[in-house]
Amino acid sequence: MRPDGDARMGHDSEPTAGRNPAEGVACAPSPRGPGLSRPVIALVLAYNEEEALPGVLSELARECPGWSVVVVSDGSTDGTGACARRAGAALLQLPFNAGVAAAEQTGFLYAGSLGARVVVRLDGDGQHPAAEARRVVAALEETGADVAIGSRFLRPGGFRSTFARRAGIRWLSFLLRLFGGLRIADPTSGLRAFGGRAIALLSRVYPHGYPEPESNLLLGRAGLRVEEVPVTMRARDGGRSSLRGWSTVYYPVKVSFALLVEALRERVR
Amino acid sequence: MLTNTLRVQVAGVLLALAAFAVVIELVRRRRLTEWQSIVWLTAAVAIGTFAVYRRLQFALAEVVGIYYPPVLILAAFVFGGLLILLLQSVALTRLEERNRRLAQDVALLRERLDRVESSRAEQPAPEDEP
Repeated sequence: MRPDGDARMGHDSEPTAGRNPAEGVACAPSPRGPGLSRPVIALVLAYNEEEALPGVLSELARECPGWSVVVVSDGSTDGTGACARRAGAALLQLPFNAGVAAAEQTGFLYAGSLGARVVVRLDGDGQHPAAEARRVVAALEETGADVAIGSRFLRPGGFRSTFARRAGIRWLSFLLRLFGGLRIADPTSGLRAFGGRAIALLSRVYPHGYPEPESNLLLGRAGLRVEEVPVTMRARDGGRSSLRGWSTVYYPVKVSFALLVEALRERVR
Repeated sequence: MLTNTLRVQVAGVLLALAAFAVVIELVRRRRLTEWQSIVWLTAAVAIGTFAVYRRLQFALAEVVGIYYPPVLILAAFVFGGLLILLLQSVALTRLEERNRRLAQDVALLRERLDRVESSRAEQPAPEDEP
């Protein structure tokens, strides 16, 4: 149980009398919406992922039947939205491609408005297996951390990206330790679960651009507990990585600079 | 025959007047807000003033300690230009932020509309009931 300041999340500590224990933790009705019968929201980010998205959503429905699924379509121009609707997922459609950070934050705003207890973030390209997402959520709940990161580098096997990318990831990991005292082996991992405090904080402030390393530093410096869980990822199902060509060179430089700036910022409370 | 000094003065004043006219016209057509126009009108006035009162640059250069007076004008305009660019970047960042918020609100409202419409479709409208 976290000492949670957010009133919306306060039902965590209420007595569970009158609730169906089979449902897990029930959710207080939100004043703004119908409320969530399922307090875990799977947040799937998709930009033109009509090929891979149906597989991701059906896997989620099969592996994690208790979760609410919301797809953020980041200005997709293909059938991504239709895929989400067909699968019965909630759909957040950004009117243009606003970037991973903005898309992810839209999901946090949505989750916050419904009073979600946990948000778990998955990519719409099939890299993140639903079973692994479940492990990350379980780790979040067991350790009582505010954020749980699914890390590719804590155990062997699975898709671990190219050598050059791994070297870049090690460098970012070093910077996070330097600037925030954080020990995170895989700071670029997109497969992360967030508890109530993290959801509330990231709804207010969020880094631009490629958000994972920066938001990890932001959360760590804000005093939130960040834990890492070993997971196995797959190579993407279809579509193309947003990082290709010149941006593979530019990305580490940009993120290093962004981390430095983030370290110089006032700590968020 | 005009002297060189006079030619420079005439050219400077014409340039300043043209800049002034363009800025005023942009404000008139609402392509520029009054507030933004102040910066550019000031620049136009500065060009005109330096062109007409040539002694001004010598006096100012002496105050600042610049040996070659025309450099003063050049430097002043370069720094002024950079300052304006910086302010524009700040304004752009703010607009980006607002733009992002709007896009997010649109996405959230669309989703809410989806929910409202689907619940309407499930339940018959109240006026249909007896």
